[in-house]
Amino acid sequence: MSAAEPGALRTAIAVLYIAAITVFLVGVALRIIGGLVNVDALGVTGTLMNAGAWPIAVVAAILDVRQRRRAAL
Amino acid sequence: MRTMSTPNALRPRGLRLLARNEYVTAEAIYGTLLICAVLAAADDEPESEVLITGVAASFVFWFAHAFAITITRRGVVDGRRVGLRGASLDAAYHSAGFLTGPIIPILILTAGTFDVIDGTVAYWAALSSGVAVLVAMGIVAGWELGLRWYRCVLGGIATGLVGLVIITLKAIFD
Repeated sequence: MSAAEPGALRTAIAVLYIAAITVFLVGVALRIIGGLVNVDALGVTGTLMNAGAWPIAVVAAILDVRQRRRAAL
Repeated sequence: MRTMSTPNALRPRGLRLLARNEYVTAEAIYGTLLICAVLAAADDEPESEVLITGVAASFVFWFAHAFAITITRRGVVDGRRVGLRGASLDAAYHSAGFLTGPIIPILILTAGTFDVIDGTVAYWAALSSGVAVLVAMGIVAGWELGLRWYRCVLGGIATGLVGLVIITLKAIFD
C-alpha cells in the first residue's frame, strides 16, 4: 500500500458518511413535504432514500473499521 | 476494548481478533438489541414497513451517537486540540457498531420484503438472529478465556437470555 492511499481512503470514507447523512435527511424532507402537499410519490421517494442511506453508511462503516484495523497493525 | 493494551499471550489472533476487537463492540450489541426491539414492537406491520422502520432506527441511533461523541470530543482532550473534522470522523468510527450490528437481521428482513423467503419466516428469523448473535458472542468470550465447552455454551445461553429480556423490556416500554 502506498503512503497516499490511507489519506485517499479516509477522504472516501468521510464522503460516504456525508453522502449517507445527506441522502437520509433529504429523504426525511421529501417525506415531510409529501405529507404536507399530499403527494404520494414524494413520500415514496423519501422512504426509498431513507432506506438507501443505510447501505451507504454501512459500507463507510465497514471500510472505516478495516482501515483503522490495518493502521493499528 | 480497542484502546486497551493486551498482553501478547491473551491477545486474540486471526478470526477472534477480527470478530471480537473490531466488529463486536458495545455499539454493535446495542444496535442488534435495538433492531430486535423494533421488530418485536412491529409484529403486526408488513415486512417492508418493519424494514424501513428498522433501517431508519439504526441510522438515526448511529447519527445520534456520533453526534454525542463529536460534541464531547471536540475541543482540547488530554492536552491536544481536536477539531470538528477529527472529532466527527472519530465519532463516526466509534459509532459504526450501530450500523454493522443490525446487518444480519436487516438482510434477512430484506429477503422477506422481496419474497426471497416467506415474510413470516423472515420476521422470526430476523428476530431470532439478534439473539443468536448474542449467544455466539457469549460462547466466543468463554472460548477466549479457555473455559470448558459446556461453560462456553452456558455463558452463551445466559448472554442470549439477558439479551432477550432487554429486547422484551425495550419493546414493552417503547
